[in-house]
Amino acid sequence: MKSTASPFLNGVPELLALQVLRGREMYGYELVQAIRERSGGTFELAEGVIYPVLHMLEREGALTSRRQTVNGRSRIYYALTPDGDTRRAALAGTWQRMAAAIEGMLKEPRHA
Amino acid sequence: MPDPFARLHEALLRGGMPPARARRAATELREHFADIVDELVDGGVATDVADHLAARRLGDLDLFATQLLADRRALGFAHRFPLLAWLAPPLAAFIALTVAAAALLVTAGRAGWPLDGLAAGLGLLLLAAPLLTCWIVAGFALRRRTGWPWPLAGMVLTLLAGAALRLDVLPSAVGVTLTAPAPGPLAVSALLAILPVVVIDRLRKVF
Repeated sequence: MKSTASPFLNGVPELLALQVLRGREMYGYELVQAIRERSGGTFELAEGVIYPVLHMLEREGALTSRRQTVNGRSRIYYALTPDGDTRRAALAGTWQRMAAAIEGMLKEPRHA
Repeated sequence: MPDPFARLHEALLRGGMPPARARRAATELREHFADIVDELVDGGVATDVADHLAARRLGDLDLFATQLLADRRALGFAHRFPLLAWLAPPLAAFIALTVAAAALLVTAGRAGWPLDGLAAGLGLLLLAAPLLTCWIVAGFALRRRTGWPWPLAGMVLTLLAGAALRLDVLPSAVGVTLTAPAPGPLAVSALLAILPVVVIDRLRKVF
């Protein structure tokens, strides 16, 4: 599933990034792998798409970042801020309500 | 083959992203690509195949450039407020320098210092200042890959101010006057200001 395939999926990369970063700070590649693993392969983003999301979240105060050189590679680690956690909870709540509503509609009997 | 990440870096600069931010974005994507290649090679994939697969996994760099530039908050001050960035500072700096030179001469005169040498030195400084200011403006524009209209407007305004403002040192007074710029010296200043910039810009594109 590509994250930008449908307007219905707007906000999905943001929610996934915030959720995964709840555990610990990560750099971009690590974050994408974690999303893939924790979603059981359901969400396979075009991996570079994570960076516009991360930069936007950092600009809006949901994340902080720090640079570290590891084995000659420049890594920028992102960490969740308290504002970011609040944002994550709000997004998660919205998605859970949407999922419950859709599930309810799918269970409705067909109209004649 | 042109480096796609260098191309991305250029695209971000031309789109108005500040140099440090553009460099960071391009570096993050480049390092991510390298991480994917390492992962694939460690898994037994041949290097050239890994490069191709990594590019597919990473995604469309042109699309990411568009997404990164879509938020105006990611763009630099000079891109968002060109009037304030390219016109006001050079002009204000030159006017401030002229006023400071006048104030220094007045102070020196009141203190009884000989003014001839000081006036000559400040005169040379004020002659060179518009040119130096233009080169600094051009340097900023080149570094940011800014389109030329606004920086050129700032350079022209500074040269006009340099040609029009005159510092007069009289036995008992120091004054700053506004005169009509002489076309000949103005044209020479413009040539000296713009020619090196054009040469550097051409050389940069070649190399």
